[in-house]
Amino acid sequence: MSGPGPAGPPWWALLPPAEARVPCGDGTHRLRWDQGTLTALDHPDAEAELVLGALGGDRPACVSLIESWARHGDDLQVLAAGPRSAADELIITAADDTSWLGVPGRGWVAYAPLTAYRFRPLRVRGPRPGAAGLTTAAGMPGGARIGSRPAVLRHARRGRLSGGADRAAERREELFCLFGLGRDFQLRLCATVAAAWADGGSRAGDRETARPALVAALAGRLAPAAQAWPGIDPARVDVTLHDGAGWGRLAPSGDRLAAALPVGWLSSVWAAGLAVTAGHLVVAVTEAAWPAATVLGVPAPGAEPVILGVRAVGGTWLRAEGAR
Amino acid sequence: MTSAKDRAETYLRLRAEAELRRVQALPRPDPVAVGALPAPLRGAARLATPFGRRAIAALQPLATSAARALQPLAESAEQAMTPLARGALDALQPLAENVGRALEPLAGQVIGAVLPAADEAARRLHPLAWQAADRVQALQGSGMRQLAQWRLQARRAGPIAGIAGPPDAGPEPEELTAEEGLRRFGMVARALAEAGALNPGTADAVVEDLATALAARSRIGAHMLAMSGAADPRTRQRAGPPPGPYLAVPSGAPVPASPESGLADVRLYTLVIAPDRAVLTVAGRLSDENMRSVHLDPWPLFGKMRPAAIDDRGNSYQLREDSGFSDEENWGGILRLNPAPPAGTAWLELTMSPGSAPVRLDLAGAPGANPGHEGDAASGPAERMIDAVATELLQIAVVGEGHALPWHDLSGVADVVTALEAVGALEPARAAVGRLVALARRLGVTVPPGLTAAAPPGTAPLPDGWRDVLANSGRRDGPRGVAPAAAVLPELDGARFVLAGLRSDEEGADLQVMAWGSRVFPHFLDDSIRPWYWLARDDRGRWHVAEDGNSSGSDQHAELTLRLMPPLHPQATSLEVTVTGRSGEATATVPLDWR
Repeated sequence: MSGPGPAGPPWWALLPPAEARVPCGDGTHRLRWDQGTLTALDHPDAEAELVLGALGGDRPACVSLIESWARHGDDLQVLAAGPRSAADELIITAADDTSWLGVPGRGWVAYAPLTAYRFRPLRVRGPRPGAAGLTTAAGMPGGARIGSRPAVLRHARRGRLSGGADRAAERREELFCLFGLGRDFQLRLCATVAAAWADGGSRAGDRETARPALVAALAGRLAPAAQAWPGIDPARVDVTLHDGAGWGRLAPSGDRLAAALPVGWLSSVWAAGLAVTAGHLVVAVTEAAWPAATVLGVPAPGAEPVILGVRAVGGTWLRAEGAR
Repeated sequence: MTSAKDRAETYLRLRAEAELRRVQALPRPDPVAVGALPAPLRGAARLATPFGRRAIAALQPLATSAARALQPLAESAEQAMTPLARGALDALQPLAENVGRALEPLAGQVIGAVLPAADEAARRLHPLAWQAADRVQALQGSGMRQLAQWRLQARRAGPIAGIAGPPDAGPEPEELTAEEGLRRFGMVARALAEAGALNPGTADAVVEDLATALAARSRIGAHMLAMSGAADPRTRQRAGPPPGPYLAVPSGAPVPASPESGLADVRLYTLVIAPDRAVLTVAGRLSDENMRSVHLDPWPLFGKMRPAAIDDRGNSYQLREDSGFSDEENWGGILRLNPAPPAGTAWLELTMSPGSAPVRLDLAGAPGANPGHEGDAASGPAERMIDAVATELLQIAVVGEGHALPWHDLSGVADVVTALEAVGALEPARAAVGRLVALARRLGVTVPPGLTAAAPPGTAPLPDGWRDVLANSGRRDGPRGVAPAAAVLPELDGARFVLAGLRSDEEGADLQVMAWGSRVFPHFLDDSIRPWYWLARDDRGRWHVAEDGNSSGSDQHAELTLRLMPPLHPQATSLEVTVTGRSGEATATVPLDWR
């Protein structure tokens, strides 16, 4: 998976590693996302644990979360529910017992601000994915690793999610579990999904079937960026999906803005927090070496994009000193 | 190339984005207000459990009695309250169980002392509960629509009632809450699907996605999530009526009732045999004033008598009372025949009490369903949908002399029309929008700008039937009597309707309808434009609209009482009844041979 195009840097290039600590078994374990991969650092033999889980044992929360991450790696509902902008905060927490709220399943609900996580171990129901679905990461210290979604998980996904009337609730619950890992992970999950549907992604060939959802995903994130850029009313931003070469198009039309951007913009630009940087609407990343990057930015509606050197400083992208 | 359905889905998804932005701009609800159980209470709940479990078991008979007493109310409220109730039950169960663990020894004594009294109390409260249920049911009226009207009324009365709001504000658009917005969004999505602009599964999936997005931001309560997640939107399929023959056998024969029933003129309406049941509709008149508003369950229709039946093959059947309803004057009920007569049964002979004359029903001669529904080729689903709104408006104008009209809110259908226009699906329904606007203006109902803008220029003429309904709305000249009115309508939009009795009075007529299918029971909280509307015309040319009356049912079956108004023409001898769904209409004509 890479984007925005064959020549560009990989989509995760400007997303630094992120870690979350989750209750797992009797302890607190670490999940680490790095270069597009989620790893359970404290499960050196995740494959064996997966097999035990398949045989009826409890599945460690870490392993279940990694499985969920893989299952939702191309799930467009992630983009439908995920954050739209820096100001758009998801408010997800775990409750001791939320079944009384009418939420089917195992206790995730969106209510209180993100103050503390309490994960309840997930137990996989239905057909179990085989151990071959998780591969030990080369070069990672004993971690379970998921890069591209293994075939066995694709089978498992179909098996698990196609039966029963509560499939929607189950999907949603899993999603809330993943969002509950925190904002860094929310953005990275959105980026993962967008990359799956972008050129070179695992679902790029199916993009036509998902065009409405992808257009909405782009519009929902470009509109607040456009508002922060030249102050365009979000309701007056018309978005289409850009296919093919080039970064796309931004064209003012009266008080409206017509934009055509590739899906990869979401993973390489928006998820990295680059959408509006130094007064420019960033439309593509041309070079990336975290925390520095070279991007294409449009200074004003109707203007041609310019090359910008930018650098992440304290969580904010700034124009790099001495850069163009 | 982008298909029309893709364009419609894109529109709907972009509209979801706009809705999410709108809701994000609303003040955030207080987390406590949306139902979080405070931590101390949660802690206390852990201490309390088994007592509750025992208490629940001990109080079950009382609960059963109460449930039976409140059944009509419960059935109506069920649709609205299920998610909430499930949540409350789940919340209270741990609490109850923990309480029990602490208080178990005491509980046994208390329960032993209290239970007989409670049982007696339930017995005494039973008839009262029926009356209360009646009143609440009447109050419920048309559910959320009525609520919206009350809210508007309250806003208008604000200065007097101390409610904030400008005087004479009129029906200005009110900012919808997140949950109202989600319901409205769902209504628009379903309407696009019903108009054929979008696949139903896609429409539901987009609604589900918006609900999830709102929930992830704590903008809607968990009960809304539970409702939106009740069905799997990506795979759901609506079940149709049970396959097989349907039969409606008219009777009208008088049958004896037990003296303690307080009933006179009890008559069998119609025997309905469906693939999943066989029932007899029955009607009587309350002759004993003491029985009025008592609403016994079961009603002592036959007392100690044991009604039974035999068929031409010597098979025997039992009859038992299945459900009933009554008002100040009349009683109606449904008797279930067990087992259901097998196919090929030529006749049934019913004996309602020892020594009484048997009543023979000729099954072989009874007509089945018409071969197919009669579609109106000139109209499409979108047009029928808008006409359904207009027909509801017409019905509101006739019922209660139109008192509810000033508060009738057309903003929802205006949203639907705007959406249809946006996806290029309005054109076939534009004339219907014109009719709706013309009717609303004639009735003095506020017309939202979105509707006016979509209507063709000029004032559309009202259909003859609508004008006739309005012209006769004040009449009180209907004939008094009952008629079997038996007819099986052809299957329509995955539903099967069987007409099974008619009672006429001066002000209107009650038509008994048995229905099978997934959307046959009026859903209390469903904001969708109703999937069916009924019109009838008697052979004297008088038109009638139907209001959903005292109905009960489940997801797949309903026993409907439709109130036809204005009243039947006093000299009418037959009635043509038409139900219109999204794909077409079905019609049956029944004789009015009054008994």
